[in-house]
Amino acid sequence: MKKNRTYNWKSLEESIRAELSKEQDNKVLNNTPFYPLAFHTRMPKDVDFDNGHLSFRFKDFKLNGLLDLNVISQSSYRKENKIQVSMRLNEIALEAMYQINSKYASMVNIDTAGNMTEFGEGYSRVAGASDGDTNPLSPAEIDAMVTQARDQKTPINATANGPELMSSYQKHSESYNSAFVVSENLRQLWAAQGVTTEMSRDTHEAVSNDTTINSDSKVYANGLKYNPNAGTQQTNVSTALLVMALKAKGEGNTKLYEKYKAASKASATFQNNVNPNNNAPTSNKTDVYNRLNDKSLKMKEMSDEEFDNMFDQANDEDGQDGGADEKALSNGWRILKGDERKLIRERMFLFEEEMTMIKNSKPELLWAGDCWATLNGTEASVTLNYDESNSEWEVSDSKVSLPGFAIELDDSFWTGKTADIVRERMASIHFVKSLLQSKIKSSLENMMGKVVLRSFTAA
Amino acid sequence: MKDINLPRTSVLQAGVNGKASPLKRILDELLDQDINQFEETLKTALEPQANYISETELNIYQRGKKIRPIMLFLSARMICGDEELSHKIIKAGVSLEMLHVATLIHDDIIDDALVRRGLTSVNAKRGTKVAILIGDLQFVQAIRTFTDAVETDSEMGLVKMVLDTAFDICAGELSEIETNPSEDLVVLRQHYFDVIERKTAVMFGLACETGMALAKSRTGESRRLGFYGRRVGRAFQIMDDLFDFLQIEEDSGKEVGIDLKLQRLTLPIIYAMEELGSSHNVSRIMRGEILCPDDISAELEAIKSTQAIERAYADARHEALDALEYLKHFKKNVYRDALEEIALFTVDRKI
Repeated sequence: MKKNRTYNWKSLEESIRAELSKEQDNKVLNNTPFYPLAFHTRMPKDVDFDNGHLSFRFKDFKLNGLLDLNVISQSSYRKENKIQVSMRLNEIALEAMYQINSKYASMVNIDTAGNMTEFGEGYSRVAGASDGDTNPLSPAEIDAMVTQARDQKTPINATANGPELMSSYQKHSESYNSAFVVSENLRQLWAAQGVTTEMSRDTHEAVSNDTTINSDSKVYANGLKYNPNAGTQQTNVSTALLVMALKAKGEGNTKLYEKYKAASKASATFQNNVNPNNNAPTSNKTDVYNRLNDKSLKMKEMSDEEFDNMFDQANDEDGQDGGADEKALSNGWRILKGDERKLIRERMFLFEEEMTMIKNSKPELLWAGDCWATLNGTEASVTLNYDESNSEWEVSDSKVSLPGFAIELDDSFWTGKTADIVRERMASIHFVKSLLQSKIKSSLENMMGKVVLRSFTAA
Repeated sequence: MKDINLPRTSVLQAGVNGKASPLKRILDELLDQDINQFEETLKTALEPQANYISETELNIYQRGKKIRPIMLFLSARMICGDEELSHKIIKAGVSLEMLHVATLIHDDIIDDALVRRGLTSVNAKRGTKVAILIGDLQFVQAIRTFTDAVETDSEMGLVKMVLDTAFDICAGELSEIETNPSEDLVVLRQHYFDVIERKTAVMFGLACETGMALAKSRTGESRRLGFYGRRVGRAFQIMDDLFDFLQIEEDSGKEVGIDLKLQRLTLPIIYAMEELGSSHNVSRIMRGEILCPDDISAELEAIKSTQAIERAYADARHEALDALEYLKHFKKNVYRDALEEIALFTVDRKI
């Protein structure tokens, strides 16, 4: 069948334009979610906090210039049961708004994924760390400690219980890291009054000289000795993770609950086995190795019930209510001392309050403005077929070809170093850009198909 | 129409062209010598299998991006600088690539995939039985090569890490197959992250941690770099799952929407199920209530009409940017810059 090139394309063009005018205000794209842009960024001076995370999104998309359209009659044709309409959209442009948000983030200045020491220059000390008279570890001290730790790794691994001890950390390292990254309180407690620093210094010296590691006479800046301090840190970690676990459970994330709870329990198990009642016998390096080599010693895994019972005991302040203590006694579990119970209660409250604060912390708008992309010369081709079984015309194909796609943003009012970071990151958002391009293309294909069908069938 | 030509004091242009992959430049400019040694060592490591492997498997090795060895060498060079890398580091890189190829061969068997890296897959070419054994050979040879790389007692811990990683990869695959799609969507999302941690992220973490440890870094530093690697691995896997919906079949050599057809619960599918509701065909296909049709264009359109892709992308960006947090405390040098570039390129590459 010959193609009918005498069709009145001009009239169809008019109809398409009329139909397109009805679509002009329709939403072409959904707002994007906020995409992370940069973490731990120094904020501009006019923002209430110094350190925060940045995110961005595009919203309120509008396609303008749809009506400046021509049907290209040379590449359009009409057959009995088929019509193909080729069009050029001469002045089409995408307009939208961009938003850049900032959200407070506490600065992480402890090497939470490495050796738990403070990071060096350029990072402020942990609040509380400078309260005591303890000097931070010097690079030379850290080097010596790390070398010592590395030297101990092989002999520890060669002992009967060493490999289990080492792999226990590895198994939960992501959870421990999460707890320290998420909780500013946990980091502050870790570094408070320089006690952990002083203890690691003492441990290093004692291992070097094979003298007592956990002295029962030395009192640290917080008024506690080595064993109770070690126990307190274990409780801090264990409680923070339990609170994070319960928060995940509250949000229906039972898998994350299990993961954090397992890490919390591992920390409590370690304390229960190694330093029960903060009463580990005073030991030097040789004693520690002897214990690690003692095949009769087996790290006793704490059951879920025993673990839960610890917190039930903690909530029973004076042990008078009976239930939790009685259950512990009848099962041969450890009875917590009064100060241990108090510590758990205090920490639970502290971390619960912090998690609520984090949850309620909302991002703030940092900058917002116009953005646009010119799409001049966009071409569209729509094919309609007549479906004889339904006796109606339908869209069999709709294709849109977009020109090169560049998004321009008005950044004239961005200031300071934050602006440099935002510019650098925004200049590289090729995935976002190509995703937008792909969605605009599909949206236009959909719209042009409907518009041409309505225009043609109305004619 | 609003005048878009209003004069502005400054205008940011997000660029017309996509970013080119940095991997080739990194190989040419920073790791040229290492990669030559890598190729030689790989050849030697494959020699014991000469009677069993064919062009099909060799092509998989040749066509790979070698991102894991690249990350391992860059991690080692953060410590060694421009010095020649020891042979054990090169061997470790070869070992990880073999471990990766083993997983690819086994993946194709599980998925009944006919094409791998644009060529016929091992199972399609040589049958499932042979493919299983060829995959096993790569696993075992990977471990043998790594064990050969270990020289000191303290490095023996790394062998355990490699074995743990191999175990995790297999467990991750099993866990993925055994996912219960009827679980709550919040749980499914966490399950997805657990699966990709084992299936993909641990190997990226291992590459970085091992590279640095073999270069005699401090334990804390290599451990920290492992955190960087795992996050890049997570971002890499999420992006891979996104590209399942976005790439053009002719370019990628992969059937678009194959994850939906294989009922693989990837992050964009989980988000789409959440937005489309439990009675939508996408959710019903995933739960096995209805068969997946041959033509899935309607389902793909439905998924694309939601914000599933954007939300999953936001998660991938989160991981990539978080990875940089574990990199920033290392001394700045060209190798650290390259690792930073890899993390960002993972999420900034064009569709």
